[in-house]
Amino acid sequence: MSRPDLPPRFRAPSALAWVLMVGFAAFFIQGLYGADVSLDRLIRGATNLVRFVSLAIPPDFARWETIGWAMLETMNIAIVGVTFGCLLSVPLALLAARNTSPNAVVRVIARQLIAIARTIPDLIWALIFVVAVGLGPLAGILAIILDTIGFAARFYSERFEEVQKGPSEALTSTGAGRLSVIAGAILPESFASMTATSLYSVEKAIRSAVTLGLVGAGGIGVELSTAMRLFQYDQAAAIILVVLVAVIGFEHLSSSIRKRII
Amino acid sequence: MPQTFADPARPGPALRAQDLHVSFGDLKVLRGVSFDLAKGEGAVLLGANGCGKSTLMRALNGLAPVASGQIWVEGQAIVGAPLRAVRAARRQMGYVFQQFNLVPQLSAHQNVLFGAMGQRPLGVLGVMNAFARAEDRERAMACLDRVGLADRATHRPAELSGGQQQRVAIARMLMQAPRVVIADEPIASLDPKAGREVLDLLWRIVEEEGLSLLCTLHQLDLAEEYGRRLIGMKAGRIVLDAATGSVERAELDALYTGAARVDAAPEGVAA
Repeated sequence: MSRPDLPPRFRAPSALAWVLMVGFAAFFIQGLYGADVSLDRLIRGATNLVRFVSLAIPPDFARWETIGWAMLETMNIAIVGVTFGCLLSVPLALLAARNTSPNAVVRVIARQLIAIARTIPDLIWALIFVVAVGLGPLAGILAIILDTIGFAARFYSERFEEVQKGPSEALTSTGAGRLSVIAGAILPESFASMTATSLYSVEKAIRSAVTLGLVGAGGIGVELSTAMRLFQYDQAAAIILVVLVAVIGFEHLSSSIRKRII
Repeated sequence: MPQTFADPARPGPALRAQDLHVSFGDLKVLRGVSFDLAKGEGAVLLGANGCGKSTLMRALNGLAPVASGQIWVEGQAIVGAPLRAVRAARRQMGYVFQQFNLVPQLSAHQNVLFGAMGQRPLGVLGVMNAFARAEDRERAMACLDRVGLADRATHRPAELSGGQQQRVAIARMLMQAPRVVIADEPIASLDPKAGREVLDLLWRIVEEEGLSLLCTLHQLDLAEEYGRRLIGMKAGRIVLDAATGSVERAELDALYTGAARVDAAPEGVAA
């Protein structure tokens, strides 16, 4: 009996792979064409960018007081929104996790709610809440709450599902009720991971809260969009610098807290 | 040898299983298991890996769903009983696990306090160190003292050796103040010396408190030394049940040969 043939170096892609590749290529070329990219436009864009930078330097901190208060409002929106978001995420995540949910129907509903909160971008939430409660920080807070739930509740529930079964079973075997077992074993085991997720939520919320102002939901974004529209690029640059410092500062703070608890 | 403890106010066996059947999917794990465990009796359950021992233990506590048959814990039927009754039965039954199953993030003292969780009306709130009654905090400390670990009260499980963790788990069982104790391979993850210490402690506490004990072990020598009654399982059935002195070593060895696992022996063909 002769030896089987050497395996080929390449295998012909399947029909489905061909369809996907051709479809992707078509979509990509159409997109490039639609964006109307030309050398002329790229050169003009670069000149405009240089003009913007030259106008933005040096940054104008004359309105530092207003900028400072607006940045504080942004931080307030982020912190208040994340706090409520994380608190609401805990019960929602418990309902959504396989090992803590009372039944399959509740679990599917909770998962859908979390998925909806996550799928709709924070700016759209802000637009919706500006319509509902008017311009200002409240709309921003509500948008951050929803955005945080979409993120934190999902990670909390995944963590709950990873918790080892032993300690919960041991508490169940003493005759304890379900809520007691959750609070006595599953929450303590998930605590470190939940804190890390919550801290990351704050970082994410500060970044979101900056942009929420662009649609009128309060905070420093309102100042930024005004400065840009009035071509006061030096003031805009000052605002962007303040945002940069605040975001980087908090990221350092939160990563040092994370290192301590994990 | 201590006398069998019998309380005239509570007649009947501490634990009774009658024709228990448990299946996971198509696999029949328990195929008609019946036995009584008298009050104050200490029995050792033997059998090869996969013969259904752990499933039997879990079924006795209501952790594994029973297809048919009945279990009585201190006279309380638990198969098909409402959850409230199952919890009442669980409160009577201490459970010692192979993997200790302490909550890793909490101190030894807090883990022991959790033993009383099923007995406090507010559940976990009643046994959190910060809110627990002074008597309970004191009693948890006394339980830790009894297993010789009072000086480790604030340590987390990871800071304790395997044998110490199992002793904390035994203190948690003491805190629960049960009537019956089931121990599922309590020394299987310990070295021989620590294992013997844990068995000595477990048996001493069970005898001092007049509890009934069903303990699975893998070491035949220890089984004959500690158990006064040996129950042998093979392929989902009890094939041996006798006082320790009357059992030949060959009979015990036979438990581990041939089709001992439930997945190796189809229903009806078993040993």
